[in-house]
Amino acid sequence: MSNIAIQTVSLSKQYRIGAGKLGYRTIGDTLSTGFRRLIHRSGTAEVAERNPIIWALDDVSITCRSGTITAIIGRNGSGKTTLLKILAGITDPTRGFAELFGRPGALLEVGTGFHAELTGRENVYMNGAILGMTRREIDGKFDEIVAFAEVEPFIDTAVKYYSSGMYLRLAFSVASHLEPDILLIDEVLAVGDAEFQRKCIDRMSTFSRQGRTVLFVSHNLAAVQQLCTDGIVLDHGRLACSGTVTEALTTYARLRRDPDRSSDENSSLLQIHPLEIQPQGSRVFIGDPLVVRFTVTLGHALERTSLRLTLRTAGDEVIVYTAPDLFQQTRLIEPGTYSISVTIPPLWLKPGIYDMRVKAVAEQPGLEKIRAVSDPMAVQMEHPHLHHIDLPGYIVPNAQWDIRRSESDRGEGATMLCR
Amino acid sequence: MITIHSNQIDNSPPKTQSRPTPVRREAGSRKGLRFRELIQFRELLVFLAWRDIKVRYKQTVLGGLWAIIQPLMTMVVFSIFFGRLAKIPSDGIPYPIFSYAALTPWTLFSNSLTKASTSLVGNANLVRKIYFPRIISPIAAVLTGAVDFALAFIILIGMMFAYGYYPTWRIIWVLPLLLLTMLTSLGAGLWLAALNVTYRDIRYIVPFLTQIWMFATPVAYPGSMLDEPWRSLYGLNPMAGVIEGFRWALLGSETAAGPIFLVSVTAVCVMFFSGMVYFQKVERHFADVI
Repeated sequence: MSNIAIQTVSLSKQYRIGAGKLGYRTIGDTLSTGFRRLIHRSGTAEVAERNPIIWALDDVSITCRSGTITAIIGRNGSGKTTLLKILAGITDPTRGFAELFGRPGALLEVGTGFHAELTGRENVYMNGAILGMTRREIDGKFDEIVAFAEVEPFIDTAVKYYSSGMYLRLAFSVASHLEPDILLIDEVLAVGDAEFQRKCIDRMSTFSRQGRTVLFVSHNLAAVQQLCTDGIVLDHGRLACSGTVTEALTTYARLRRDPDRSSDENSSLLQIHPLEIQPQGSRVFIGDPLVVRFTVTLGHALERTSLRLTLRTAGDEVIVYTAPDLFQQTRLIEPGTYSISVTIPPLWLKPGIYDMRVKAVAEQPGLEKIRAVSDPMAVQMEHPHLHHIDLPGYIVPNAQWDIRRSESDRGEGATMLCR
Repeated sequence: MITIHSNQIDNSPPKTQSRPTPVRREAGSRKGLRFRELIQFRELLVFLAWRDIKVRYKQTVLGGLWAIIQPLMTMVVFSIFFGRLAKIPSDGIPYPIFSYAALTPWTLFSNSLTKASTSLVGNANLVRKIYFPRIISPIAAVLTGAVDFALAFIILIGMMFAYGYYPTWRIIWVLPLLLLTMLTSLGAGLWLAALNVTYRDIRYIVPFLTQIWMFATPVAYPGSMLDEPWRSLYGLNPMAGVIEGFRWALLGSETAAGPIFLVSVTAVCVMFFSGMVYFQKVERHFADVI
């Protein structure tokens, strides 16, 4: 119970889809429906049919401790933004409730309320007020905001003349000087370049070090993994996972389906069955070899079926690619089930969570290619001493460092071996 | 408003000195008129109004002059067509100043009403992305109209001197009349703004509404054209009372306030409070529907 920052109990939000989320857009619609209702008693059922109900959030109960950075992940339309909007007070839940212990501040968009015709200075005040800062607060932080955005020479120019980078920097700078107890952030990393994203991430970690709580929606799983301690996964409005960020990312990887797969109608022709990693399950020491086992079923004789296995970073970048023979097609032709095991030598990938998939593509003469993709599997690379947060790059090889002082005696003494 | 300064907190986690009551989000958790919240958000109100004023005449050659040109041109057109050609009586007052004295508050009213009714949809982005008491948006729209009014009013004073009508103590009545105008446009504006969120038809209705409303108001003709009891009933249109009041306060027309004014004030109160209640009842759906 100690230090809870956010708590939700059975939080649910209902929307009607169809003619506007809540019903009608034009008076004509209302009148015609009302009229129909007068004639047929069944009018209401008809309305319900025309405007089906969806639960954007369905019975979501979560708890966030203060000082943590919690990621909310899930596919588009899974209810992430709705959850933030309810917590921010923008919209009311249909059922259930949420409690926030501390002053909340929401950043659902960078630059809300920025007006192209106003100058940089005017927009700082306007945007600050919109984000809930008082005039005095903005006065106090003004120079800092402008310096952080690096737009001093243009601060009295209308922002419509700004480059998009300057605009974004200024908008983010204002937002990042907001100091609420609970910060709710929606996908701000989707915009901006790498430098901008780094600034965002730095700023958020500073926040949590100051004991503030951050709730962070993102599709950038690399950032989530780097930044967050806890994670929440939403799937079609339901809570799929609430726990550590590792648990959340694993759940999310399982939920995520490759778009190729769903579009495949020939799935009975070609199937890949669950991956299994041996011997330790999905947790692997970075210097150990990896054995992956799976089965491929051909429902039909297929020509030239090729297989490949990939490992992706949390940012969805393919970092390991392997095929039975990189330059030839594999000989899986006859129908039947093949059990396959892939032994991967030690990869020395930096500790973290990677997404493993196996893909099969079969060509049929004169017909479309048939594809099959395995369920993704999260592989956690571990190292007893290295912490994944601070490492740059991707590979941490077991390199031998031989360091010796050149002037001193040869053969003995100042030799150091480091890994 | 509580502010936590970073230097105060850097080393230790924020102390939970007697946990403050949590902010609660629940269906219907915000009820009533919530004037206190309005006070809490007063800075945002001022900023919104200030932004509208700043932006309104940006990149125009004549700038703020437009605030004067609008009623002035209408006055010229009225004087030619109603005053000269149709020979509409004007209680013995020269027709140009007779109509301009009415057009100043009328322009304030119709502009405020139009802006207030489209204000929420105009600020849709804000409504979707941040929380603020939504009522701030139409209030800010009405406040910006007051600036234009001030400019047009200076011209009115100038014209009064030109026509030999010197201000008397009655001029102080302009202030309560101004307030009444703003409350009327806000009252109607609240209804229309809230309805416009769901029914975009409002956008097309408002221009007709203001036009018809103007003909139902003694702007181009004197209220004295009607006889009692119709005249007092006429006061149900609050702008009728306001405009009669303006002519009385500034030009000393005989058609003094009286019962018509009382009816107007009552009508304004009904319109304003019903607007408030309706607005606050539906405002929690705005973000979902807009």
